[in-house]
Amino acid sequence: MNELGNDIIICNDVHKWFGEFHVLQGITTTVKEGEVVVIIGPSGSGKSTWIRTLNRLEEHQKGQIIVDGTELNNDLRNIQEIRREVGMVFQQFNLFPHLTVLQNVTLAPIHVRRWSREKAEEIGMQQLERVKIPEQAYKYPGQLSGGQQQRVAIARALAMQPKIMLFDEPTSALDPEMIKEVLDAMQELAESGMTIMAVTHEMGFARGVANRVIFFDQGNIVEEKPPNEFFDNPEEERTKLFLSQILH
Amino acid sequence: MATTSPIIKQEAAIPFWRDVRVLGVIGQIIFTILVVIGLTWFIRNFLINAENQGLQTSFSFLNTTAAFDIAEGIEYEATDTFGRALWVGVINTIRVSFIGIILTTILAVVAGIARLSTNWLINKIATVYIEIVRNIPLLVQLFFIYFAVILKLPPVKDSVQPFGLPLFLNQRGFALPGLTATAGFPIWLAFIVLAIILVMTLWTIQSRQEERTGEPVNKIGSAVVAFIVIVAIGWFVTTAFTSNQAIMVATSRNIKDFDDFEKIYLLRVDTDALKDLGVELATLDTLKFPDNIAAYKDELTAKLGTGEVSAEESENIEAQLDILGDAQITICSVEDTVSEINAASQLRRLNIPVKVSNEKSMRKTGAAYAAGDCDLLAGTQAQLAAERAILEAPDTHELVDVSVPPLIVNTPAPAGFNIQGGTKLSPEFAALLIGLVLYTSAFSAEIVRAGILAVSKGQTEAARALGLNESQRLQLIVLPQALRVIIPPMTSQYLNLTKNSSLAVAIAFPDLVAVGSTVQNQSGFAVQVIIIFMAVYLTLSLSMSAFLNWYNKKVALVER
Repeated sequence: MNELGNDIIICNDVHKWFGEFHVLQGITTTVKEGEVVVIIGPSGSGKSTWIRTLNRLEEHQKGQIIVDGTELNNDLRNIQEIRREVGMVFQQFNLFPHLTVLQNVTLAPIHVRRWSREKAEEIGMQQLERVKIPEQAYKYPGQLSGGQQQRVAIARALAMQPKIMLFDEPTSALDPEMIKEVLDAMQELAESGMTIMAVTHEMGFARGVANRVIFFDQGNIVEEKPPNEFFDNPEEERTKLFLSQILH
Repeated sequence: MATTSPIIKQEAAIPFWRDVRVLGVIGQIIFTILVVIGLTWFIRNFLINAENQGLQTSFSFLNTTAAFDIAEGIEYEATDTFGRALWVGVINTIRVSFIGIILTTILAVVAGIARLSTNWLINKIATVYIEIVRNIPLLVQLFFIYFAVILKLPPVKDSVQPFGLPLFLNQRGFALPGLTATAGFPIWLAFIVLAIILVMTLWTIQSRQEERTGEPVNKIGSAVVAFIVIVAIGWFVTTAFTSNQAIMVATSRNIKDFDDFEKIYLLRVDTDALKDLGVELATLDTLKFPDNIAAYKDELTAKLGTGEVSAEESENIEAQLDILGDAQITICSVEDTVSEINAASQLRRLNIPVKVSNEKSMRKTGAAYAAGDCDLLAGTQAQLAAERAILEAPDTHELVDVSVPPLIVNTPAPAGFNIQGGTKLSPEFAALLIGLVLYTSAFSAEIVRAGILAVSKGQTEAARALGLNESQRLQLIVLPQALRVIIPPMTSQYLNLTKNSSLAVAIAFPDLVAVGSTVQNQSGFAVQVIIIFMAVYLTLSLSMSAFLNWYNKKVALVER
């Protein structure tokens, strides 16, 4: 397990409504630097929405979110600052189909970090090597398999050299035989000391890699514990029921 | 092959009336026969009827004299042929369509994006524009723009000048800055092509060097420098060596160049008269440079404009302005020629006030010069040599060859009851252009909006998550992807614009259809003219489609 540092994400009584629907109901928790947090829970429980509030893809309406010392509020500068430091990987990859793999990876470093093309490409290639697909650099996303695309998406987020990585169900849209290559890339990342928050249904990953598992239901955290304790000794009824449904 | 095979009936047993391949071929043959029969019937019918009614079926009328005038377009006189007249119409159609397509593209993108804006006001303005314009017939809009807007603009001397730009709007049309190509332009163009080839070669060499040594080379920098240097050299070489322009002046004036007119102008400023009007000596002393005189004139005009001067004082100022105005240099030249634009722009560059006195032909212009109406006669070297030969006393006049840059920026300037120089748009052209652009853009804006909406939300989210700002997101992610959805329907809009330009006939802009109708009335060759209409529009439409299809393939996404 990694040495954990200071608090890097602080959520304090975070609420969000979609119209009448109270989707986040007062989340309070902190994540430390270098920590790997896996969030599990039934669908519709708001776990994806929560992770998306952490870089303002969704706005929270009440409470406080502090990421890397900057509070997420309506200040555009704060939002941009946080987005630079927080990488995100989506369920549907969301690669830019009109750009080559390398262009996908170097786009934000060039235009947001304002690095030179040479530097961006050098770092971009390093990241592609890290996820083990440097040979695909000059292909287009449409020419790659789902697993390869998701690894490009990881490399794209990493090329910005973020402090935090968010994963929103990164393996849910993949064929079973491709899940492993993505999980391997995530595991390597976790071992390198990156702060990770991942929404996933991969219990193996949660048990093997996470420092902490958060069980999320009905817009709030039901239970959070180190993985062994969580899987072997859950306290809450809801957790027990959920685990009994997914662990046959 | 001894294994048990499944039960498959023997091949070759398909009768031809059940064979899909044979049926396909038969169907096509029948269709072709029907088309050929139909066409033959139509053409035969036409030929027989034409013969019965004494209609001629040849295109020989194109070579006969047209004997009517065309208000605007490329060079044309009433003594030219019908063929030339139709060609003027074709060029006018292409001109209005080409400019229209460019402006439509810009307006459609702006309006389409505005329609998606979260800013309430911008969004509503775009919505109102689109809903109003696309629900009113184009013909009605053209009438409105032409009769109710453009023809109701102020007369020429009160031209509207929006934001103080060199743009003049009045009931005789619009005058805007334009570029005029001169004799040296093709040569300069050759220099540009040469520069592009060299830059590309340089780029390749440097890229190889970069790959070999691994050290980054400033490719963009050297490309830009090389390009600018070659193009600039081309500019000066062309200016110095390709001019066919000259001016004729009285030998006694001792003129070697346009710069020498400065002396004449300054001498002509009647300082004694100004002194009599009470201008202070200190001020008079400053009036030794054209720039200062121009500034002083502006000062006087401004003072007059405030309205805070007494009647006596304003009379005095006007008298001063008259004196300064009398000092201007007068140019005789043929209207709208390179010679005129060059002479006027060269003198204006020196801040010398200019009056252009122009006629339609060199003959009349030469006569005006001979009568002593102007300080110089501008024309080509050959024209002026001919004019000089027929002067009463050729020895007292000399020709001075002047240089002309390959491109002259031609800015309009008010001159009394007229606007001089610049590119002029007639009221008809302006009305047609504005009408077509507004109308087509309303539809195209919806296409742009649909294209942008067709880019999935995930793309936007990914761009945001990477920290790209809104304009980067639009430029780098959304528009390039929207383009492939936008191009095919946009092509039809461009074609619509081109074809709708035939409504020009309603406001008397001489496009192909307007000119063609006159040709048809005068010559009686109705069918031939209509065939020409169809051939021209078909050619325009097909070439445009071909280009846009090629472009569409280029921007298409690469997939497995």
